[in-house]
Amino acid sequence: MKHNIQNQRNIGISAHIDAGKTTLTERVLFFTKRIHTIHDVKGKDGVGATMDFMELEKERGITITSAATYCKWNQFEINIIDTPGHVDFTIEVERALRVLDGGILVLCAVGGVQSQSITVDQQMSRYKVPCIAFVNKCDRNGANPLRVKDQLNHKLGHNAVMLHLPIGLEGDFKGVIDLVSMKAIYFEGDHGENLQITEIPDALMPSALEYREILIDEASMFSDNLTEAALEEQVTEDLLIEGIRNGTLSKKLTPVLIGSAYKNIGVQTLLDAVTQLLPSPSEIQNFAIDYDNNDKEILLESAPDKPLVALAFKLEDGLYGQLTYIRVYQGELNKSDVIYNSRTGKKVKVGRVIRMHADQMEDISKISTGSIGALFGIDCASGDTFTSEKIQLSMLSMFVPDPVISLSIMAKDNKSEVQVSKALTRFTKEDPTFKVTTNNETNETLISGMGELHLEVYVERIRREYNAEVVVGKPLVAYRETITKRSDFNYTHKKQTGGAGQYGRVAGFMEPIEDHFLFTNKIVGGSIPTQYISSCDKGFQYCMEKSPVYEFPITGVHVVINDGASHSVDSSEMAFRAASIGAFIEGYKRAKPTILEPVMKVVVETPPEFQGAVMSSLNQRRGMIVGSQDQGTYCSIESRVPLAEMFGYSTVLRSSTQGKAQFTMEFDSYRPVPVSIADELKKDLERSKKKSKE
Amino acid sequence: MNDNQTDARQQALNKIVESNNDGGFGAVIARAGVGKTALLVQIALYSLFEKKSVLHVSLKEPINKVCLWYDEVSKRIARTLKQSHAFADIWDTILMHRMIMTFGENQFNTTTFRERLSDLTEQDIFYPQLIIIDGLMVDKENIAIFKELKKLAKELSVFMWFSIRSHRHKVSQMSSFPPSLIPVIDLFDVTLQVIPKADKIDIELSSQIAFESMPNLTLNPETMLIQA
Repeated sequence: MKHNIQNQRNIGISAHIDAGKTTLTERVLFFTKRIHTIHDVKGKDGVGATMDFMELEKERGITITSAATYCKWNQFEINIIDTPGHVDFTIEVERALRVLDGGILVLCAVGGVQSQSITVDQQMSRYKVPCIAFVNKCDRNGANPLRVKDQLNHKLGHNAVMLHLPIGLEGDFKGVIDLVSMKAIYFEGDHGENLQITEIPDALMPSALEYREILIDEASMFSDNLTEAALEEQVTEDLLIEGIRNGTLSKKLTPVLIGSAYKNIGVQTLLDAVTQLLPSPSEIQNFAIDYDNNDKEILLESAPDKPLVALAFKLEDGLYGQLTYIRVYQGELNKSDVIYNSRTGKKVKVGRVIRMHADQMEDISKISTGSIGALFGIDCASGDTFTSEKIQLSMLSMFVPDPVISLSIMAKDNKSEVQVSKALTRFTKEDPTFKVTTNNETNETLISGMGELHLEVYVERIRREYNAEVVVGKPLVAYRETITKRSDFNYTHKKQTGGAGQYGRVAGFMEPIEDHFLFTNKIVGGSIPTQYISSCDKGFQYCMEKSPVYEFPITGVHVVINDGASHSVDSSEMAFRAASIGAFIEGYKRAKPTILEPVMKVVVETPPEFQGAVMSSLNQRRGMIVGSQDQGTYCSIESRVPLAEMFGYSTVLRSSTQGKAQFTMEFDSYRPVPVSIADELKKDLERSKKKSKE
Repeated sequence: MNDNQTDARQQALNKIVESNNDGGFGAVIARAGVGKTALLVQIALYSLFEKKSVLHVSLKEPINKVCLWYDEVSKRIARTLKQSHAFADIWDTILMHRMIMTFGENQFNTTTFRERLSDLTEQDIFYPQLIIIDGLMVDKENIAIFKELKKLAKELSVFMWFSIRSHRHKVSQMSSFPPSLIPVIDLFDVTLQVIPKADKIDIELSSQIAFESMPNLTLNPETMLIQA
């Protein structure tokens, strides 16, 4: 069958944890006939939802790895990426959004716009992903989709308009009113598969007319044809859809659909909206960087006859080797093609090309322009770009946050050691926020990531998927150091121990800046010869890795060199590097160094009666409470808390709120630690040094 | 924060608060979009510079938007200072002394507000010395709330500033205040009416406080900062 790019949709489903996105995806697969039975998350049948195919996901009821899946709705081909809702896994969400053309923002009709929805929305904005909103769980007590629509406007700054209105709510939720066709839609049959389209009940007609008027008003801002038709009172369905679509694609309008995935209400209408309102790959502008042409940005064309440009956005290690999820932006990717990895410059022959359906796969002959598929046996890293010719094109890099927490990990026996090593190699390739390092002094292997849960999940995966027994240490916070005042340095490196000597003098000053590091050369008159300047820079940068005071990595230093001296025989690159290291140490100690700790933005959502207890728990953790937001049935408390104080907080929160509160945590900034904590850290450092000497 | 440029306006506003810190009420009156919130945030910042604890209650905007107001107004103030780097040094202290409380639509009432306040004070988390209430409509239904708040201000010995929205065409025949404010005007000790004119924005100060010389306040139309 000929591939029609206009009928292609690459969509992501993003939401706050427990908003029901995995259930929604499951229903989408059911209605598009990709699966024939429905299994619920934490379902009684013990099977679990199809998209949550990892054992751990089924157990915890959360989606850890975004599973790509393919389905068809009418004549449209839809690739869906199910994304994790927990903040610790945001790199998964970021990666999914990088390759998507449109998104469904799933919101809970009871909880509304919660803290994680805000994070997910910011991510969607960063990648300019047009989205539609789906207010799920309208069958729950306290459901109020109109309030959620208002929250979309007030909290997220969207221009949200209702596309549907509910027929009944909570236990009486029966169906939806489509404000475009002005019909009532009921979902009948065992699984809501039979759509009954009838006239709108008289009682609901006034509000339907009122909201349709608002919809036409908003949509007409994006279509002159619709404006004219509205003035002449001749609005057709097509014209209205055109206006809504234009608004959605420009990210200036967010259509709001409603339903209950669990009760099978509103899923088919959501699929219709995906095909009608979200863009095809050809309607999205994608850019690549041309390294051969001064890093110029090049607009990619969604044409099959153009040279291939594809992005490997996700790796998985399965039974049959490494599986590489790939999105083709330009050209086509055929089985047996020879493609180039533009990062490594290596040629690769494409073997099996497949299309994924959660953990099942289907062999295909090619991945068409704009489509998503997976390749077997390709050695690459996540984020690599593949091209058809040996051209230096690279897709724009993804935003990868630095890890904020580490813990030591050790295999219990020899057999496990091999397995742990295998697992760590795989995880670092799959997840750029997961890093593995070795502590040179203690020889411990350290794994670092975005939060406690992030690392816990990987440790658990090592145990289960690799059958390896491991011992993990206490979580360690990624402290940094910085300077707080300007200081001068003037250091001479001089060595004469037989043979060629070493001589170099470096003088200048260092001062605090907001960026990580900046080196400025203000040498005039050649007091340091030009060929040694880069060695000075390297010497200073080397010092940034480990502070001479508390031994943490350093950040926020501007080094300026303005004087120095050299010797015609004894000066060398090595001598100036050593002189710069000496100069840095000299200046750094005088620049009033201080330790910085990662401070997290912690948002707790709790019933109002526990607000006091929650605030107190945050306060006890050196937290600074920014404010509280009262929404009647629940309130959210926003605070900034040092990461070091947040270990085990979920247990404390659960016990102080009878398990009714939940929190999200994400990195906010690095802030100076109080003096008493700095002293403790210094003592710890001395203790561990002493221990390693013994 | 001591800088000649901020001194005059800061002194005028501080004098208002200090002379009424046993339950005083102040109102910033303006039409929609003229800058009530910006002015309230400015008033709050002048107290924060003095290391006074300010509770900002917003009935219309979420926490992050209120934070953005503070960031924006403080940046504007910093630009007017001779030593703007000094501002960065005190920003952390400002944050420690500021607390934001927002309420969803129709969620604000004095009982809930009292509960929230006692959550803060009973656990030694925060004791407000100045309270800003932005977005509370002054209408018949809310008269009781204003009266209750007056009682609360007296109990806590704090000054409360409110934003009061006026309408272009609706002016009371008896005074220049919005008609909706008349039933509760006795509760207020000071009012700042923001009146946009052709090339400037005047602030009409009406107060029972005895100033040595009545400060002549205007708003800079570019920065929306008070000029004394």
